[in-house]
Amino acid sequence: MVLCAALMGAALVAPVQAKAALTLDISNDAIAVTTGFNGASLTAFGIQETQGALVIVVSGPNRDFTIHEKTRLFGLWTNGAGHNFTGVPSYYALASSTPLEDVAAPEKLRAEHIGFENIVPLPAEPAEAALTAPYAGALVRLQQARGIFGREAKTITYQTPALFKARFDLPPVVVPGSYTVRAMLFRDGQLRESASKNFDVVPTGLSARLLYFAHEHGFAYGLIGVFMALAAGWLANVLLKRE
Amino acid sequence: MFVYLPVAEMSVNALEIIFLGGVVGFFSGLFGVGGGFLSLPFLVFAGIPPTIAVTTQSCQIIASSGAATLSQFRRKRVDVPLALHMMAGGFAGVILGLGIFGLLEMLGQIDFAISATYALLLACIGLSMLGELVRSFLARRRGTTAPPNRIAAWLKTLPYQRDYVTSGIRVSVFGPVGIGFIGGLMISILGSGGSFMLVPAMIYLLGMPALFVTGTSLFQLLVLATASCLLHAATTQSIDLVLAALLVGGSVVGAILGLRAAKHIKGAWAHLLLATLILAVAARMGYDLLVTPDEAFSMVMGH
Repeated sequence: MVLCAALMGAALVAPVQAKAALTLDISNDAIAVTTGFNGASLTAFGIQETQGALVIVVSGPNRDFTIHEKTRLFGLWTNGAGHNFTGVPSYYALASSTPLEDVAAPEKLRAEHIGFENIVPLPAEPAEAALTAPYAGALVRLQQARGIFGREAKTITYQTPALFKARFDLPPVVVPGSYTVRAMLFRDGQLRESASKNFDVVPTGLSARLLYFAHEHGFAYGLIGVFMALAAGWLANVLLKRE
Repeated sequence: MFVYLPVAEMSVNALEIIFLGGVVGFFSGLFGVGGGFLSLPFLVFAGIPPTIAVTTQSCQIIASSGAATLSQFRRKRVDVPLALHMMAGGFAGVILGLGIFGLLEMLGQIDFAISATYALLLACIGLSMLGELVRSFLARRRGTTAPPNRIAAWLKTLPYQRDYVTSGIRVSVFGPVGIGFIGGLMISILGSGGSFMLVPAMIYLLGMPALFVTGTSLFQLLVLATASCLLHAATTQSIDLVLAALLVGGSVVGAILGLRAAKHIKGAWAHLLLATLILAVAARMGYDLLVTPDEAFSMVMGH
């Protein structure tokens, strides 16, 4: 019965799926951040039924950032005027089958957040955008220097003309939360198909418990720190006396 | 061996941090200083966010001062009333420091403030240690007397003069309270107990006998570091216990080695070594502040 229903369900869905020229899947639905975490990798793969340029973007949970321009004050370099950015992905990686300039016009790429210069949302007004752009550029540069944003688009490899695969690396400095993998198929400079998948970066085990404890029971967490330190000090005292 | 720091949201090489804790512990064992002023710059060089480094530091201060306080109490070398008065000032300092810390963080200036203050403080300490070495070297040749201190004389004129029986000194309550206040500020903003400043202040300004200075300053430091740790845990939530455990573990081993080495290394040479190390760290921090940076922008997560 169950099998029968499943087959019927599949039959109903099948015509819809046949239309989709792009299917996407990822190697992990969740990435566990354990105490020994030192980065992870993720593979996105799928089938592209029609011709076209394929772009895959992986982005992490949005965070707010402030970028300060360093200014000289009494001969010392200090953090000068700052610019706030809200809703900037805390992780960004990109893979494409053809060079980005051949995929679509710059404004199309910007609308889909494709390309490192298009990660940070800029104000709509041109004058304001021009003022903000150096700060936005610095944000990307600094995140690239920390190894959090990639430096260039990765390549998408094809096993068969239709079967594609791209590998992404998550750095050791990773923000927990929900990540999105989005595959987009362009033809004649237009976005034709897109598909996306989510995965979660979840602190697990000791690090998760500590983080929860630090946020929910701050004072008790502090007490643990105090007792741990006192115990270590006492231990040192005992060891020294024995000598 | 990589370990993920849950609060700092990054992974670090555990051996590096343990080694750092060990070096700091070694010097604290060798000289009886807290060592916070050395480990903080290195934590920052290692890429730990300054806010997390400062607050996590308090655990290491508790560990190093806790053990020593116990043995000082056993030898009855703690002036409890004086320590309590220092703590009163210290608590005010910790709370004000917490406010300043929050304000600087909001303005995005906390990392600048920490490195600038450290560069300045370390340069002063390093130079004064060198000066002290030279002076004691010269004094051994011809024998000099210490010049009278103006602040010490001024403290004698303040109200609320009080006898501190254990130390056998008579001084205004404002003396210990003021010194404690500065110590409290330093713990909560800089993550350093400031022993290197408090100890000379207690000797030269209050006129305390050296015998009681160490125990008394360690006792007040232990209580203030505990207060700072708990307050930061409850408010800024920026203490990383994994980082703290690595640091404390390393410093326990380092302290034991340092105390053992203290028997073999001549005092003057050890001081010269520490002064050189301090000046090198100060130069490294000062360099970053003075020389035109490669990257003209800096980034802070959040607003």
